[in-house]
Amino acid sequence: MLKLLLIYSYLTLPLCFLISKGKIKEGLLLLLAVYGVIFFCLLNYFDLIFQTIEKYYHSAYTFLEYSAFTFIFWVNIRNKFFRRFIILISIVFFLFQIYYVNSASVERMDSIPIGIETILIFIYIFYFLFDFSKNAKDTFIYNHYCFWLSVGILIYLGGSFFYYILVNNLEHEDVIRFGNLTYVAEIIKNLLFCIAIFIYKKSTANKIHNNLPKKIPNLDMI
Amino acid sequence: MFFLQANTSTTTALFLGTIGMLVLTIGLVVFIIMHQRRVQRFQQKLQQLEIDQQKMMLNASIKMQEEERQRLAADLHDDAGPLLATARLYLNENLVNQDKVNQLQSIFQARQIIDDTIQLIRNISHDLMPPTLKNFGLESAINDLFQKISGSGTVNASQRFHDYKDRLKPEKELLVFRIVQELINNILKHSNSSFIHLTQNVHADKFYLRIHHDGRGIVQSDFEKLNKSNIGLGLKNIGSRIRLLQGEILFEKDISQTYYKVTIEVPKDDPYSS
Repeated sequence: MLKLLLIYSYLTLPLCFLISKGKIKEGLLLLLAVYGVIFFCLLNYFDLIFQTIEKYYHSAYTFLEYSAFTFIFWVNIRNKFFRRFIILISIVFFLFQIYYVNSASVERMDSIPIGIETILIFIYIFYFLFDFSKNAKDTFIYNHYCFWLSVGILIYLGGSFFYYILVNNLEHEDVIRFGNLTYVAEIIKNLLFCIAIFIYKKSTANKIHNNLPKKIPNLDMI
Repeated sequence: MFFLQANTSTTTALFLGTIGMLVLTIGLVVFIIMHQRRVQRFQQKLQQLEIDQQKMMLNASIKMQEEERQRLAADLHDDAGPLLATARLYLNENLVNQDKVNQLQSIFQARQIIDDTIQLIRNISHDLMPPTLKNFGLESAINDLFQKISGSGTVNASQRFHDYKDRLKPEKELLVFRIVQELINNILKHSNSSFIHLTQNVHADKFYLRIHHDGRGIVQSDFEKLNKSNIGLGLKNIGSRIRLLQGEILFEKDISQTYYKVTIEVPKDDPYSS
């Protein structure tokens, strides 16, 4: 029941995209909508297809999740050095994933890549929040859509980190019991993502209103 | 037994770890929000400082006005007063008892002194409100000013008005002229430049002036720093005049890094109709 709720909670993202009249050129909104559709499909259909090659399914899941979350923070972090660091570390992570998927035997889930993914995303979020709170002087952090995305991801990854790390060592009934806890965290994440979509729309509407192009006429010397 | 114990400790670690992570997450979010509030309070303090600075500028402006009045009073008292008193001496009651030659000489002297006084009062009046500005507008007044500067031979000053068919209101023109005068004075005093060029244009409901020069100049951060310090009374006056005009001023270095530019943006008003 909870899993079903989780799967369908992913559909709220494209739904919010449509309700908020999101446009294709609004890249981040589109990314969240596509993220919702892809993960709905991954959870609803593709686990059946990938049943025989489960480790590829989990690796693909981790890869897509890491890519989506990282892209959000890569776009929002202004420090060039840190952006380069994200790109570099992501390449290393993807190479490790390829190595892992080909060499390691996966019992239930790819715990090590998930653990690394969680730690990396945590670092990006901490840096983003630190950077934002340092530089934002005239706006509250919770008026920025990325704050809600960060909180959602923190709850989701925080709530599932130890579960994914220890999942291969758990009894079947514990997997179900604690699995439900991660579903709750994931549903909360999706709801917070929906809030982020509306805040993004609101803030871009204000930005368009406030930042009308200021044209200075010709004041050259000749 | 060992397996059961190991399994129990794994689930405990999982449970405590998850709780710990969630507490950490909530703690972090609360900390960020609290930190933001602190930043906001700091911002409010900064705004208060800004208000204090505006008060300081207003005081500087009042002080400047008072100094101007004192100078005016001194000019009238020290120069015009003695001249008129001397003229009065020449035109005393005994003049009718004097011979014709002395009478003519006294009248001539008195007339000379009165002419000097007229010239003196005219100079004082021109200092207060340049006649060219009053009669012919900002373009002519700036042209006059620049011709005088170019006449000295050390600095080449030129100006170009692209679109000034509709004059600003006289009080606005005077404020803009005073800002230009102050900027030009600063350039002549501190920049050691060889040329000054002024351009004017309008766009939508805004009037723009830009001054280029090739000497040592300042950028916006310097202007703001000087505005906050106790020195730079002239710059403070520029700031208060700009605020009075509800305009903006921008000090910057040209993209080629060769020139300094000062751009003034002032809202336009109804065409001058008086």
